[in-house]
Amino acid sequence: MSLVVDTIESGYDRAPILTGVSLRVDPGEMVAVVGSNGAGKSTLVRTISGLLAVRSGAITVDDVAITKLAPERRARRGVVMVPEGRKLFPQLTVGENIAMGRRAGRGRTSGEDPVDALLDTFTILRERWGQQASLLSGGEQQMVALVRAVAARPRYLLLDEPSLGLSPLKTLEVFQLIELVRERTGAGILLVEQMADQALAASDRAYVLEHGKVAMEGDAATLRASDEIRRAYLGVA
Amino acid sequence: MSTIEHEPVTADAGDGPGRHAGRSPSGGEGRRHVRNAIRRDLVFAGLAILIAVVAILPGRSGEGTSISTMQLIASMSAMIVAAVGLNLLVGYTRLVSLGQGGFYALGAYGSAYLALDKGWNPVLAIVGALTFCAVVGAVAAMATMRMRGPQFSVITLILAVLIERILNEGNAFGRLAGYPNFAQHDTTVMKPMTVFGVELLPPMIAGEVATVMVPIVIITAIVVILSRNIARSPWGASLSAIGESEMLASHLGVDVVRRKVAVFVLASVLGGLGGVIAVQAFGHLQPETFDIFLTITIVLAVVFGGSGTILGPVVGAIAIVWLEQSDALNSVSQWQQDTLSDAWFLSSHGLLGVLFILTLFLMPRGIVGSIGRLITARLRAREIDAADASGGLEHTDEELVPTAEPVDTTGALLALTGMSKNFGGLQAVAEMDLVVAPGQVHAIIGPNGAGKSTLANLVTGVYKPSAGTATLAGRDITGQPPHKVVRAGVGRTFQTPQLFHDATVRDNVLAGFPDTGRTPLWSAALKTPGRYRRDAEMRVEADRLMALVGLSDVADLRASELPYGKQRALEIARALAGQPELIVLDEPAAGLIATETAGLGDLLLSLRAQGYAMVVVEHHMDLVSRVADVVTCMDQGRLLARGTAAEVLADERVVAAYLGKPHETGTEGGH
Amino acid sequence: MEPVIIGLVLGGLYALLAQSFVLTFITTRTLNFALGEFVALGAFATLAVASWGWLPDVGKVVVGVLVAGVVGAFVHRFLILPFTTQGEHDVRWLLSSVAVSFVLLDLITNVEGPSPQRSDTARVSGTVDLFGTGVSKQQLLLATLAVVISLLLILVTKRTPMGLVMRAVSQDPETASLMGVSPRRVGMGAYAAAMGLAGLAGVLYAATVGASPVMGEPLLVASIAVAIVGGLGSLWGPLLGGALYGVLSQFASYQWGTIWGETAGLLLVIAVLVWKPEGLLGRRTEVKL
Repeated sequence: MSLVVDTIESGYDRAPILTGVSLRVDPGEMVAVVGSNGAGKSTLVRTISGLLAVRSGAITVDDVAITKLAPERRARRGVVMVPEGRKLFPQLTVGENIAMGRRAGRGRTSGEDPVDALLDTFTILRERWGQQASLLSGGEQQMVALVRAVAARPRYLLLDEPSLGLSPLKTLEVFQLIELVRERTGAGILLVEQMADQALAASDRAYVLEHGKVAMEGDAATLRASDEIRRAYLGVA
Repeated sequence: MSTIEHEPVTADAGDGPGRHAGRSPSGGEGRRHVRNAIRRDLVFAGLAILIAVVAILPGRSGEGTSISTMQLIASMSAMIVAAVGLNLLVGYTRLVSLGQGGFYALGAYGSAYLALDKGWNPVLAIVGALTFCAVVGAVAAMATMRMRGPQFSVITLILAVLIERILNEGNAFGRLAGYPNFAQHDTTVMKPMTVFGVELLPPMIAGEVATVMVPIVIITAIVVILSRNIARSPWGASLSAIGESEMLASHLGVDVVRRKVAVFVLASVLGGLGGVIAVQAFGHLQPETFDIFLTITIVLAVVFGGSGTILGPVVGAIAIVWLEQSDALNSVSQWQQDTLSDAWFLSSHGLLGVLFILTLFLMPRGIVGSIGRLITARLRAREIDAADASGGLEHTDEELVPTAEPVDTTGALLALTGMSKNFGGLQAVAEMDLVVAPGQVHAIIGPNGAGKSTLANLVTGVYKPSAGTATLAGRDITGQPPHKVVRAGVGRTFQTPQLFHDATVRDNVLAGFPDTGRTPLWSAALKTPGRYRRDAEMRVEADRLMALVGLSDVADLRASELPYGKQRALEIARALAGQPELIVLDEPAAGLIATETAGLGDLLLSLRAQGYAMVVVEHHMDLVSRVADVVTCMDQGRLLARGTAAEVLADERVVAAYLGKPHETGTEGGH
Repeated sequence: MEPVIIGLVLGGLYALLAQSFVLTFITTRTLNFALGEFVALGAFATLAVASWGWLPDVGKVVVGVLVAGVVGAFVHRFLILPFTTQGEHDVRWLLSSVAVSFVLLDLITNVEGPSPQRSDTARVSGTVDLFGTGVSKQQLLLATLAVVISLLLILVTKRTPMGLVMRAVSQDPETASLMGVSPRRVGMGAYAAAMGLAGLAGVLYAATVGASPVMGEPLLVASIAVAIVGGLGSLWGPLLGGALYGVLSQFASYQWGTIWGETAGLLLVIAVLVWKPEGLLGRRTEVKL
């Protein structure tokens, strides 16, 4: 029972960006993907969510192949992505955005609603409920995007650069929220993050992507401590 | 033409930073660029004229059998001229006009009417009709100034329909009897015009040489040559910039309003010229030939041949006219009726529709564009392998030139006083003061929504301030539009890199030179000797800038093929090409990993060493504390704290509102 | 008074077709320039089954609506959607819909011949007196339909989950797909509904002027103008635009002659767009850097 990516190849136009990437996310665990720009991190999550077609290889969710499914059908199976740049529906209200998230979760609504728990913690979203999403600040937008994804009842959650463009304080808050999401939903989380240090600190395991391939993988804390990683990605000489 | 600008092409006194380097068309390399460019241009012009002349050779004796060929050539010429004009709008500026047929009709009817009904000298009548096209084009351009996409297309279509209706229903134009007609003019054919004593006969009467064909093909060739010059000039680059993003274009110093009017006028005049050619060749006009189908056919010619390419509209026009006038389509239609069905078949219009759809599916870049892609793809496959395209922003300091003159930090370069900006009820920026001395790096930090980007946009003129003043080196720039602020010496990079994704890295840098905004149209079209020298000079300088930011080895890759970090570097190089004294960088480290951010820091420090002043909006405190002389922290549109990086980052209010925890400075690369 | 009444009623036909433009625009950000041919398609489809005695008139009208709707859905799926993949600057769909218009027009002409054919289905003869002006019942029916259908559409988009999905897809189809919504199906549905509307207008219009391949052509420019005046993003827009356009063009042709009627209408569009490029009821979207 896990999200398994098996030696996939994908990319834009002619040139492949991912050349044989394999990884696994188990329910309830947080897995970070770090790597330099152009290594294929965003391509990876876009391929798993179905926005980019797979050229070869396979993606399975709990032993069911989703390799050829359209993004909407993957979402309905519980593979939910929070895209880079939040991508809220700008002219819908906060409430309507979250209602859109619930559409993907229809039919998998057993148990208590994790959305309520999140809204109780981050009350600011309740205050903003009727506001147009485009009027929110970047940090609030990221929160709505996360809650919207939770409303979709994810089994596996793909987060693409959640800290992008956020102030240090907001980044801290967003990472707190991600941790809370993991507790409440029990979903496996794949976290793609530019802030390698924070991502590794928050995760259980991690993959290092280089030139469209997995260069290293393992325990997040171990990787975070390794000299090679510190030199290449954490900016430590 | 309306874009005659009198400012000199090169920047004035070289007292600012970066203005001392690469100014002379340095030695051998520059001269080689000039020689190559001249040779290529001469070959192209020679070939164009040669093809034009060869095309009309069959008509030199005036044999009756050559008449249809000459008429075909004339139709092609008219279509080529109109399509070349439209290509400037559709292909480069990416404004899909469906109105070119209207201008074609205006040129045709206008020149005929002025000559016949008003008795003007035929040459004057043509000039008059083209002037009228220019005026209508200018008005239409101003009316559609704020539109893009389908709205623009619809309004131009409506314009074409209006013109067609008026010509169709106006009694002066003979309505269905055509123009001229027996009832009004006692003839159905225009009198051939006489220029310098030579009668320009249309290809109609057997045994007489169709002399009008000579000026027609020569003018067509000249239009093609001049349009190529324009497309390859900084003026052409400004059109592509507008097509990419008007905001970007204005930050390259382009007066977007004037330039859009200019290109619309140019396209309209060429559309009209196409119509003039049609009148001269056929001597008679029928309103039904100027219907919606004509205007769409011109678009088809551009797209089929390859929009945004120099030869595309030429090839497309020739192909479409040939298809329409030859028997090819009719025989396909006949074949369908023979083999498929008597009723369910397509005739020529339908077949052209199918061709249009197939072009969009199979050759979205058109004939010329697709072939061009194939050739360059082959050539470049090796280069992509050679260049390590996966690296990030790594700065090389080989080119780091220590500043020649000591930087004078006493006077203010940029001074904002009481800057405020309201959006509706929301006060995004409230009474901000900001002073940046020459050569100083001023960082602006603060929570999301604090108004940092708004402040940057107030500096470069994206927004007009609700209150307050801005001066640059003592000059008032309050409320000036971006192109004026940029010309005054401010460069800019954006939160998400705004690049010409399909153009090479080198062309992206070249677009940053002030020439993009300042080259007058006539100089772009005629390509004066000074233009050759300046082009060479720009190439040399572009090479220097690419080396400076570490892009030399990827100079010929397309911008979209660069990794994110190098796209940021490219934006900085392009900003430097504009010879700014102040650079505004909006979150330059967003999306960079720690090592790339460090490389960016090196680059910014080296720029500061060369005397550039900078305003840096940023969230990465490592970068801020490394490069900033002064840090301003904003919150809710107001000043929260100001001072050195260490002071501001230790400020309790800053920690509470922004950082969340004290920033560890001095420790080994904390985050 | 007379030009006002006649203009309002005439505006109904344009409003109905403009609604079809708005419907595809708010869901897919595209416009179907082949709309005129779908008007003819609806009319001819109904004409083709006009002799089926067992089918009541309503059924014949439904056939016209369905044929236009189904062809519309296919046109979206295979000829519009593939040409919308390159972001907001992408206008290849526009060219392809123009090409579809050429093909359909040519095909209908070859099959049915160019001259108008009498169509009796859904004809309502006679006139009613409206504030002292005689108005043909057929046109009044069209105008009433335009109002009723507009109100229904507004109700659906504002109040139902389907409306929420439509609005979401129009703002960001890719993200909508991440929410389990198929933008492709929403687009096909919108095209089916919009072209069905065009077919309906065609059937009713053909009852007055006869069915001919070019019957939709003069309607295309007028209704696109109406949609733009009202604002392509607003379902109220066609009603306001239709009323303005209808009254103004009627008034101008009463005063200065027929040719000025349409000219005045088109000049209205230009004037409105210069003043408010997003249309009278359209919403302005801010460009963010």
